[in-house]
Amino acid sequence: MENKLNYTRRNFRPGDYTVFLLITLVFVLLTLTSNTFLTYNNLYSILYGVSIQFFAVIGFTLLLVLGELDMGVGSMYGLSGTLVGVLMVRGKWDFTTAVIFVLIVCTLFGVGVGFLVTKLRLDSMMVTLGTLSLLKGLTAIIFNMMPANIYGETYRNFSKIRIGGINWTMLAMVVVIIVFEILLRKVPGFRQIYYIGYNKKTARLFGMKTDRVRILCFAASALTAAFGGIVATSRITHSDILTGSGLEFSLLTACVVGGASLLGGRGGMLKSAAGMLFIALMTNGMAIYRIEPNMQQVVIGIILIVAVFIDVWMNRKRG
Amino acid sequence: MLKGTFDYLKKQEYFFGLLMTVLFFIILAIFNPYFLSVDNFDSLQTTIAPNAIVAIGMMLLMVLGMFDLSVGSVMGMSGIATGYVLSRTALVASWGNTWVIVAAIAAGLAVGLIVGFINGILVAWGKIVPLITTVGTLYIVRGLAEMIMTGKEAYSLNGFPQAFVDFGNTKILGLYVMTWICIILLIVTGLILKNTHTGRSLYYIGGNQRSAVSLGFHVNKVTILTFILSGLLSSVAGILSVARYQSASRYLGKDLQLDILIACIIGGGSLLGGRGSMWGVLFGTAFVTLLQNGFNLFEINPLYKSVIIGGMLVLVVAADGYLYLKKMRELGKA
Repeated sequence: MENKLNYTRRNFRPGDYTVFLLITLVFVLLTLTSNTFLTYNNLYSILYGVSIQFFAVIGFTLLLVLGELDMGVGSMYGLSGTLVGVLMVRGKWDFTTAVIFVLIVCTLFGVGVGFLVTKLRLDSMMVTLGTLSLLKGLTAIIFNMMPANIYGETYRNFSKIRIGGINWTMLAMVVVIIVFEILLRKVPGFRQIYYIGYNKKTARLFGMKTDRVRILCFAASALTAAFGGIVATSRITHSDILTGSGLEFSLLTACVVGGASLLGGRGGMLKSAAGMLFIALMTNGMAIYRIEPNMQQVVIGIILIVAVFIDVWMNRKRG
Repeated sequence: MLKGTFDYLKKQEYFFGLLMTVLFFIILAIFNPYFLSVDNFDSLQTTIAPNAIVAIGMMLLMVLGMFDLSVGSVMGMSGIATGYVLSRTALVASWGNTWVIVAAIAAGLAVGLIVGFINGILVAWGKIVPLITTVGTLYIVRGLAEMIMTGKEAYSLNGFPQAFVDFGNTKILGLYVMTWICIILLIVTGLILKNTHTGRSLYYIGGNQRSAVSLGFHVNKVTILTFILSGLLSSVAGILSVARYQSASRYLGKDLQLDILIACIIGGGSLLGGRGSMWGVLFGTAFVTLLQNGFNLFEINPLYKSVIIGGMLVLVVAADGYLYLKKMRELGKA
């Protein structure tokens, strides 16, 4: 079979860049029809929001490139922030220790999920559907253990650190995108993620340690989601039981809109970020037009199904 | 005789579900005096019946090697649609009770029909994996239901015609109407599944879809019809629940899909397809419902519920995968 991996310039396919076209389209549309959209504050808050959720999409994208799915990201996102909070409020831990501890615990959890999926050859969607419910419940239990209050200053200020006048999360997003774009193109250890995602069996025949890579990616997904959750909780200054609920849904939509395929082997960090920006612009636009939040959920659902349908359809055409 | 029966049961796919149900029944009966009361039995049957009706559709899909996560949303939306029509007093005044009830039930069933049809089309023709399709419809339908329920209708719809309420609360021989409907559906579906060509074809397709296609089975048609059936059965469960509780709320059927999925896997269904039976539906849902009942009776914090359900799903899926892998290793295929 001819190798048609999409990350080299030789295989330029216009379909891969649909998301940028969509962003431009929505952007122009909103600029023309609304006078509150194109303001510095609005655009800044959109980007700031995207940059925090972007942490969670890092590992999620890697998994999707592998052809796996982590439905538990949203719950992990909610759990980590609350866990850091409870360690600080009830356990009187200092912020750094709590964050490191929580990140380690979450990563180990990801390793466990990866272990189950690879060693027992399970459907990752199903397993993580279970962890979604499991972690959500844990968050609720921990949440109820502590008094509802605003967290200490170190925690609150974590997301508000500014470097050169803009929040560090936005700079981090840019750096991460650049680093991962280079890693995924140039470094063999990362390139093999695409090979494995494209054809697991062949990759194994060529001597790639498929199971190890998959476990590591599950760990990465848990780690990045947990980190994003901590930043998100820091931003809203207190724990919210709804933090991260439904996040897996919008992340999946963002990645698929960005050109990732559920069949694996496609997708990239920049494209996922673009997908998230697209979702954020849509949500922002709907908020400007006062479309109620439930309708927004419906719209994102429709976008997901349409995007997946187009993905399947294009793959079929490609043969 | 007894040993023979036990040996027979041990060979069945639903044995684990049966075992767990019996075990749980005994535990609850011993440790909680309230468990064997009439009130608790009533509450059990009105929970098992809708769950089992939904699970019938899910089990049929699992035999095909698919599943439907939108069942909870469909159940809720159908209930809300039915409740919405029934609570229009102007309509009741001009059409009369009977026709409004007919229209309400039709509205409820239409929800299941439409969502099931969309799911089926997207999976069969669109070739979108069932998870994405049904998670998508789950969110879409839930969003629509929330939209109807926000604002003017506050939290629940009620004030239904008396005949409809009676329908949900009449007992025949100690069992509610919904329990009878559930039993009839289980028997009929079980007979069709085991004895007719259509029923058997589900197993062939689930066992090996590719060879089923080349043997001339109408895989797409069967898939779409099964998804429609799953939607319709969820609607039936929703309508019956609304009749029983005399109100339609936004919480109806919320997060039901995981319970049903666990019930079906414990009852012997497999995510890999080709397996499953109506006995499995019965025992699986009985087990999940007893579990919930146990939470209530022992006054366990409901927050633990989602932890246990989630943990159980992981466990059950892992066991399912492990057993399959073991079988394949024995056959020398892996």
